[in-house]
Amino acid sequence: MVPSEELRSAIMSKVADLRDIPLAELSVLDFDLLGNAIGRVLQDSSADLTPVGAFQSRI
Amino acid sequence: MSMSAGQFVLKIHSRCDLACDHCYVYEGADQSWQGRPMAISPAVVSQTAMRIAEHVKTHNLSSVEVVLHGGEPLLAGVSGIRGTLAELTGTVGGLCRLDMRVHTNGVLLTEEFCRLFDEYDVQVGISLDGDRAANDRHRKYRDGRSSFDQAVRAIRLLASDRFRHLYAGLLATIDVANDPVAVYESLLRLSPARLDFLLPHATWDSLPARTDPSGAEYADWLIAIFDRWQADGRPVGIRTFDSIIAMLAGGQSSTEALGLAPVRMVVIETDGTYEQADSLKVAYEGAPATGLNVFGHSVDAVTDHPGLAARRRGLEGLCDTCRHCPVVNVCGGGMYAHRYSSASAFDNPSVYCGDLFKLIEHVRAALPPAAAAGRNPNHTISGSVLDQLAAGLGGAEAIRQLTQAQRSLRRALLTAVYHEGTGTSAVPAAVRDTMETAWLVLARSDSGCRDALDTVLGHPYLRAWAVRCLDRLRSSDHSDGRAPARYGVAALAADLGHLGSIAAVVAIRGGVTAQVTVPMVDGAVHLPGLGRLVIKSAKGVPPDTTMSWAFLETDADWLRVRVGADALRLPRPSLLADESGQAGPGVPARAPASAVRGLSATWELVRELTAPGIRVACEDTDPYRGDHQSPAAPRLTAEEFARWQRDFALAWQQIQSHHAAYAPALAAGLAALTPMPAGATAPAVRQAFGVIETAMPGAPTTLALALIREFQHVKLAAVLELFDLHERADHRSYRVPSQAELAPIESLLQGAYANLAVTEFWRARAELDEPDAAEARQRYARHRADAVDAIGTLTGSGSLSPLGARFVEGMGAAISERSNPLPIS
Repeated sequence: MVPSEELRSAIMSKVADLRDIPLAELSVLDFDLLGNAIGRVLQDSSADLTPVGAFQSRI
Repeated sequence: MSMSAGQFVLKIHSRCDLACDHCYVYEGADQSWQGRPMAISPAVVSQTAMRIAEHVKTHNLSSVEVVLHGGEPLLAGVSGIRGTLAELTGTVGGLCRLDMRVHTNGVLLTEEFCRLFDEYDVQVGISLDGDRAANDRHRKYRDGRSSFDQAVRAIRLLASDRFRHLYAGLLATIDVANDPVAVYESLLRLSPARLDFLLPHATWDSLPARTDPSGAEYADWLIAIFDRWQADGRPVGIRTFDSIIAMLAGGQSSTEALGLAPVRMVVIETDGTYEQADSLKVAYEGAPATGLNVFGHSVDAVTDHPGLAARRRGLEGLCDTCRHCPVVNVCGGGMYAHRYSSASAFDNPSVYCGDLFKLIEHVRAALPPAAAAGRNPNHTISGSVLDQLAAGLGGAEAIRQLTQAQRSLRRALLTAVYHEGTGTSAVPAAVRDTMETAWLVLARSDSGCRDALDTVLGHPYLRAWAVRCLDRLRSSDHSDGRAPARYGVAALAADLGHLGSIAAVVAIRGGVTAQVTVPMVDGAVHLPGLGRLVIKSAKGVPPDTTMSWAFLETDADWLRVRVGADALRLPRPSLLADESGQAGPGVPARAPASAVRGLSATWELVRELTAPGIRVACEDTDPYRGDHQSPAAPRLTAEEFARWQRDFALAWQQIQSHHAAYAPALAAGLAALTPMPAGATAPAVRQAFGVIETAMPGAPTTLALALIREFQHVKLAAVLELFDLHERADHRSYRVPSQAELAPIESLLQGAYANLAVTEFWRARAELDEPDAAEARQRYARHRADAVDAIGTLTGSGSLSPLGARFVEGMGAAISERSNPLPIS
């Protein structure tokens, strides 16, 4: 459970703040950070296309 | 209700033509394979397909994955596998997206198998432990012969032009006696789409081979590859590394071996028995057993099994040591089977605990600073703002905080479209070149005219465009050069080419010099947020009735457009709407462009609907408004626009007078309103934050209600992108008040949230001395009851996160405190 004190103050979201990362840097350095942000947007359409915790003995 | 399964491992053959001494199926503690039929029977396949279909319908799943596995699945033969694929496709394929894969040692793989897999779109993965020396340590025939040549022959067949689109990748089991970089390089030479290196299965009762029991040589082995992979620019996806990197950035693992995500996998043996993960075979005899089978039990019965439930407990399911470990969110306790000891079952760290810790810390240290979570703190929402939103309200400050996060998401989306579009060989080279040029303009504008870029990125349909592109690029794996399966190349090219249109608008707004190529759709150049330029040839017909390309040049004064040999130019001010929503000073709204070399054009700017305290773009030109199921209305005539303007002003007047609590958020966050055809239902436009799509209502009151109700969806969708209010893996269907159809939990939440405002709307109407007061009371009562009902269902779902519980509690408090019951006359 999230402590109630924490809930009253600023609540950290799951979206990284990418506003100050130049686009040129984003495209080469932060693709994984990017992937997380994209995952938040595409969750409806693609959430279960790639199963999480997927069977290890297949690729 | 039970949790859903998303992945089915179907054991179609229980024997193998190799005798690898590290095989967990035959060399592990569980020897149940000996009592099972060699090959799966048609009856088991049929019943399995029926069970999967039943599960898909029960949970309203949009996709499932079926992995054909063994033993060695190809021993089932072409005919046997064809029957299995046909049964699965026929029974399940029509209900949801069916992702079928096979994992094989490859030695039997032939062209005939490949053609079969091509016919059914089955992705093929192959096991190979590295170069010949590495592979021959374990992967041998029963008589000791090497399987290397046969496996490599199969991989080369898969990697050939004809079948490359089926080539999923390679799996190698680690032996620390092998040279890690040599293994990596040998696998890389086989051009896999993806790789992974698997820790050999082991338990505390049967420890992994080590030369130094206190060392972390498995970590050292993987780190050697990781460093080389990093230095090479990550030329191929490596699942373990990709998963660690993703999780360090807050994302998810794509393997059960890492992370805390719930496992949604069910194994079905050749006799129809349901089992847990087959890696448990290394733990003890009978470890994977469930006692259930496809003939007597549904898939729900399996997912309720305590063994599977134990793997959905996340942090709570781990031992005390793991729960207090700083890398537990990434490691997740490691592979479940690797925690086993006969003394304390699975309540232990992994036998690879030290290796995983060292590897994760190494990867963390090696990531560029920008990728470390610390440098880029996540967006936050203040507690008070979240509480206001939970109560169905939230003003300008709430919108400001939500909009900040949207800017990050849009930068991410834009970059992803560029990255994936230019990295997909199925996209025509000319389109990729166009994207590269556009990207340079955008990247340059990022520092030179940031305001212009931010304005363009803030356009509601930029999101819809980006999501469509990514959906199309990801609809199947095009990175292998295969043409897009479900969409034409021309449509994909037009979508990706829209990046040029976006860059052009940034350049126009910023008044900078740029040259980009853009698609013409239905005879028009679309400039998002500004309008469209409908181009005609000198003969009065579009140069191309479907799609062609235009070359745009911008500078501080002009936009020059060239289509083939023809060209025209427009003064830049005529493209930019002034504060009154009309074209620039002295330029009529439909200013005919000067014809130059055989072209003429009509500039159709985006007009604005205005009322005191609010300005909203009337989006009736953007090509990404609406969708295939709900196409937007065509461009409004001047008379139609005048009517919209009149009703919008009246509706806004009502909102300010009678529903004032909703006005600040609308004024701050509603960027555009898209007219839909008469009778169209208003969809919640999740992929276009800041826009409402609605048909012209019959009266201003109805428009006021539509604006308030639909903006609730806009706000909540933005909140859901920031926070997990409910379990994302909850695929159950819920009863929705006043609706016949069941719906996912997010729809239930959205409906309840909209009803908060709708209830308030009708309460306010009921208190007015208007002719609709009696109807308003009835509607108030119904929507209030629906909201209370849905909130109760949400509260009892067991799926809400702590934050979600707080949010729904806030909704409940609002409905009970603010919406005091009215007597129904």
